[in-house]
Formats: sequence, C-alpha cells, structure tokens
Amino acid sequence: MAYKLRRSRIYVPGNNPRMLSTCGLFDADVITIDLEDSIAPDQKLAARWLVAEAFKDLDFGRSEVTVRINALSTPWGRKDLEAIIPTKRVEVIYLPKTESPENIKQLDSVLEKLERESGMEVGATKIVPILESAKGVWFAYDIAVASDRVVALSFGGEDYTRDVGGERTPEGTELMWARSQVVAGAKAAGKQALDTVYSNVEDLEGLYKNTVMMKKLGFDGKAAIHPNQIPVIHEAFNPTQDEIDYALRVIQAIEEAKAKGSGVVALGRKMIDKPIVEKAERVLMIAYLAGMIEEDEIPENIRESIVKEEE
Amino acid sequence: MKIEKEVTVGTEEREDVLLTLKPNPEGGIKINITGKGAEQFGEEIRSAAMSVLKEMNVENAIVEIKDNWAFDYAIRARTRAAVLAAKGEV
Repeated sequence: MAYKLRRSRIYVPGNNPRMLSTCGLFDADVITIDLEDSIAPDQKLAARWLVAEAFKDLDFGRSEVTVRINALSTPWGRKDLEAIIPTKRVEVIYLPKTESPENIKQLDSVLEKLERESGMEVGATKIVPILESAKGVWFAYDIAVASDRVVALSFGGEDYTRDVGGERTPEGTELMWARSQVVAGAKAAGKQALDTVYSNVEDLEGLYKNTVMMKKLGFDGKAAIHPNQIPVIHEAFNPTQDEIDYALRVIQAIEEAKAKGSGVVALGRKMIDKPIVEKAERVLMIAYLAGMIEEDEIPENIRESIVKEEE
Repeated sequence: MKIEKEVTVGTEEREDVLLTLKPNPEGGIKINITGKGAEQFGEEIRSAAMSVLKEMNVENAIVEIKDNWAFDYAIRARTRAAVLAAKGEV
C-alpha cells in the first residue's frame, strides 16, 4: 500500500468561511473540516453546504482534504455525504464514534452508491474511523479490516476517557492501553495510526515531548487544534539527522553485501536483520516525503510505494 | 418554488454574509444588499445569490444580504442553505 504522510491533521470548523479560506496556508499534512462536534445542531445544514460550496472554489494547498461527518446514526450523517461527495474533492471521510465493523460497512456502501452516481471511481474516497469509546478501541483491528477504504485508525482521547470513567492527566496515563491497542490494531491491518489532540495549545514544549513519545509508540500522526501546533508535530515525527544517517548506512551495507554475493549483512559488529531494514526504509521514506532527502537516496524497491504531493 | 417561511442563515463574521430569506407577497425575486462589500461588490453578490435561486427554481422571495467581505462560495452556500431550511431540511 502506498505510504502517505499524515503527520499533522488540523481540525477546521465547517461553518466558518474565514477558517475555510485560510486553512490551506497552514501547511498541515491533513485538513479535517468538521461537521460534527464543532457545529451546533441548528447549524448542521448551513455548515454542510458551506463546505460543499467551498470545495467548488477553494484551494487547500498541499494538504489532504478530509471531512469529519456526523455519525450515520444521526439525522445528518448521510446528508453530509450526499452534499460533499459529489464535489469530488473529499479524499478521506473521518467517521466519529466508530464502534464496530458494521459502522464502516454501512459508510462503505453509502460511499459506493454516491461515487457511482457522481461518476467517480468506486473506492476513491478513503475512510479513517475515529475510535473514541471503550468499544471502538476494543474492536480496533476488526474496524481497521472492515473495508479496503480504511487507510488509518484515529484515536479520540477526550471522549474515550469520559467513556471509561477515567480522568485526563497531563501524562496521559489513562490513555496508555487504548493508544497501544489502536496502534496494534492499525498495524496488524497494515494501516496507519493517528493520535488524539494535545489540548494545551499554549504548551508547545509539552506537545513536542508528547508527540515524540507517540512516534515511539508507533503512531504516524497526531491531530492539532491550533495551527501553531503543526510545525511542532512535524518536527517530532520527522526523522532526526542521526536516524537518517544510520538508515542510509544500513541500506548501503545491504547493497555491498549483495554485490559480494553474501547472504549475511552486518554494519560494524551488528547484524542487520529484516526489522532493521524495514525501519531504515521507513525512515528514508518519511525523510523523503518531508523533503529532508532526495529521491535518489531512497532504496529503489520502496520508491514506487511513495505518494509524493505535486509541488 | 415559493418561499413560505422566513429563515436566516450565516453570520456577521468576516468573509461571511447574514442572509434572510422571506416570502414575497408581491411575487418575483427581490434582493437587498447591505454591509461592507455592498457598494463595491453588490452586483457580484446579487449574481451569486441569483445563480442558486435560479438553480433551485425559487420564483418568489425577498432576500436580505448583509455582507462582510464574503467570497462567492459563501454567498452561494448561505443562499442554498436558506432555501433548503425554508423547505424544512435539517
């Protein structure tokens, strides 16, 4: 599957024209236009059509264009899709409160119908389920494999904590199991894992430390609620120069061993096995997508799996 | 289509319009534009609203638009939402 950079994802309220017309300048990997929690019930109609009309005119820069719709069990979810899918601008639907594979299958079939009616390729619209309840997190893997459209699992920490009767702490102890479960569920299915927001927008240092930890846990990206958080999240997810140098040495060692016809690869006194190679390839892929290295520095075998945005 | 109910959508925030759609007892479409961009972009605002009313077959309505430097898409969106709200959509 093609790897797409989804380090940062900024939420933009769908009923705010000013935010819609400027969010393309934020340089986020992903823009998620929100029709759900940030929109009051009596504004759902207005927001839905503001977003649909915005898609006809606005440019969102290099960002992946995604929409968080209302759950399909609400009076609004299906109408959201009917308004925005025919614009052919939505790359990914974020489905809130996903708790079962059936939620995804239902969305999949509505998308298929709308794609056919709009003359789009069936399957063009991808899905990211948002897991934000005990049940949703518990069924992470089943949800991730419920449709080929699913490209990642996203974790919602605030609602999850409320659902399990826990309490939010600065260290995030209450989220440890859930985060690991979301990562494992996503990775077992070969999908990306995207972390919840860091709520304290004033504390960029705390955000950086938290994001580095999430990267170590296996997450590929993190949601942002303020544009100032975006460059910090990118920095945390980007490989360090040391990681890039090491990955390049690993790839070089493999090529040298191949040239010698040797099946055993070593770097210094350390054996290079498959997980090390895969990690090196991943580091170089992210480094390339983040503009840190040139295309010819990536090993040929992974070049074709990379989705690079047009400059 | 005839508008039989008064509805207001949008806001007075920057780049938005506050748009009120009302029944027109005299028949036909009447568009009143006020606000920041009224003088400079009145015709563009009118034509954006009109394009949606036409598409949605609205033949009788008074439209009051208070503009705060909205782009065309926002004017079209607010007009469309107002017509749908008048029809009872949620």
